[in-house]
Amino acid sequence: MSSDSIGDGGAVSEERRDVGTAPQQALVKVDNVVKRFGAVTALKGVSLEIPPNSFFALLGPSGCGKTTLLKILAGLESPTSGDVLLDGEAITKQPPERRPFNLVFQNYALFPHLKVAKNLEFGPRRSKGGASKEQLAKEVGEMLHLVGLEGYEERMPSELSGGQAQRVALARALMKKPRLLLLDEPMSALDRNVRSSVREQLLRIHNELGTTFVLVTHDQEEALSMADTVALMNHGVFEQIGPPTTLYRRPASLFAARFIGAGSLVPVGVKEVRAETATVDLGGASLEPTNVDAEANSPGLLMLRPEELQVTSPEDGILAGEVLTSTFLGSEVEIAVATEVGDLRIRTTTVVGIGDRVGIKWDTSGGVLYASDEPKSA
Amino acid sequence: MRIPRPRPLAVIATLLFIFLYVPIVVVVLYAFNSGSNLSWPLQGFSLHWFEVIFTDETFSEALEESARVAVISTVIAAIAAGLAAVVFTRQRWFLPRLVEGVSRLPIMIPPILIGVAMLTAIGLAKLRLSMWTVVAGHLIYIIPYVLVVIVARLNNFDVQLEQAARDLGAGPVRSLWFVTLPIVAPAVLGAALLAIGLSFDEVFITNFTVGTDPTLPIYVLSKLRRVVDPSVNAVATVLLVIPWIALGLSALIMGRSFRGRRKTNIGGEIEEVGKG
Repeated sequence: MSSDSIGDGGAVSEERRDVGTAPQQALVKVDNVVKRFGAVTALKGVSLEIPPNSFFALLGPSGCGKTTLLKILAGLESPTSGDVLLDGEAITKQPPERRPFNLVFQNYALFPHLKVAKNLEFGPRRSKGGASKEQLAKEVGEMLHLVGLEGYEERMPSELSGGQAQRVALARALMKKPRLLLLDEPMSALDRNVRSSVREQLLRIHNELGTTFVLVTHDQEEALSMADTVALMNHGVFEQIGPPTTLYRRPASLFAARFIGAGSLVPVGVKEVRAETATVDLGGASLEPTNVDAEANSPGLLMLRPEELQVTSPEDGILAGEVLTSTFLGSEVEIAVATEVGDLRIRTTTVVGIGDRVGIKWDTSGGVLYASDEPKSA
Repeated sequence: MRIPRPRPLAVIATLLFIFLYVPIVVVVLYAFNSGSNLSWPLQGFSLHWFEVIFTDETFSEALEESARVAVISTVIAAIAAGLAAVVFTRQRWFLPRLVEGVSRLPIMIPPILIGVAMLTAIGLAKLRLSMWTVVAGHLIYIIPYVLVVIVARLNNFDVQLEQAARDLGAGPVRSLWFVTLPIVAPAVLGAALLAIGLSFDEVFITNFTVGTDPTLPIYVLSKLRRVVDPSVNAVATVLLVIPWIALGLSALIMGRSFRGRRKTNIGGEIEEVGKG
């Protein structure tokens, strides 16, 4: 977190970041878990600590192993090797019905033959020493109130909209007051305009109940805006685990840099590397970005966030180019500028027209540098 | 329609239908005939032959025996095939697949061969021929059909619903009982009605395994053996109607449970079985 000049993620507050980094006894620990399906290795020995009361996101492209890990947490899959620990005790061999975890399925998996109230009662009724009928009915009513579906007890799942079904699935999973609530891509089947309200509702419920949430998603915006800790996965390993601000400001790998946020990667020549920073050459200009893994006298890739770039006159810029597109975002516009080193995305309030020739400048200590994975040097 | 319908095909189809159904229609007509010899033209409408059979004690006993055999073998077949289908659709390794293949095989074995084999086996085991040997023969015949129907339904079943039940605290057995069974119940019921229909008019295997109490088809055979009695037409009509009711209900129930799903050909299969 050395380069303060890099733009803030915006939506992420400082307190939330602290929750993730504070030293706490982990609620759930994943210890060197490997999962093979025949010849395919879905998880290549992953380890993870989920702090209590946290909102934890497992983020990654499809097929990265995040859903497999979620199923291992729920007990629906068993790992080939490694352990899952709850309060420091291994629960790897426990079947799903014995774990104090509940899952919101991606397609909700509501029981189609049971009305909403019966769906919600299903969990509590299966546990010993259950509450009385009246007590249960009261709890169902309260839970439906919590998810904003008062009076939906008598509906059948087939009579619900996608958003309502999703909230019923959430309510059903919360009925047993799980220690860990697992959410498998909860927003993927919803309309765009429903998503933001679901997102707010999830955050509100998380704050109200204090239950630890684990969210699996391929949507980086969803993960960064909701979670206090994000674990970024790719090909069955963690690329980076940390608070959203860290993932955004200093992605730990080129994959993370490409996956998180809408940055532009510019090829540069690396001249000299120091502990945290490096000196690079970009078309004659000398810059000193934060260095991750670039080596001296080799090609590098400089990641620049759209909001740290500024539009200036062509002769003042570190780079110059022609405006290709302009997307109106309300308070600002996002433009794409074609330069000799590739297209750059910039967020600006400066009014520019398509086809205008503009300069691009940024703080010379800005950007994050990676070793280039491209065969051609810049 | 771009594809023209060839007329010869329509002619052949019509002939085929006449060929298939005219003998059956004749039998039914004779059952309502007032005359006592099987000659054309019919003499007049009468329920006389039905009166004859329903006052005949051996007929009533045979009908009861058939009903008993059909219900017992259907219940056993539904439970056995249902449990087997759960295993066959969840366990995809070599052994369950082999067992599934083998248990479907009797569909392709001529029933008369099954009958001979049953008789040999019963003889070797030194068992007495009774209702239970009839049930055993029927089980071999009907289980494959019941299995095919239930496996088809379970293949369409969303396993995540069972996972959700497990996740919410129900063990494997409770998940099956509270979630899977209620959802696939129409298919199981349909399969059971199909089994009743099949069992009711089974004659080839039964002919070998029957003891002293004949089933309805065996009663018809023994009646024809002595003399051509016109009351046989009435028995045949009863024998025709009962399985058709069962199969019709079965097609109706499964048509509903499979609606909107891909495997709608189940209804077609049932019709074919009904004709056979």
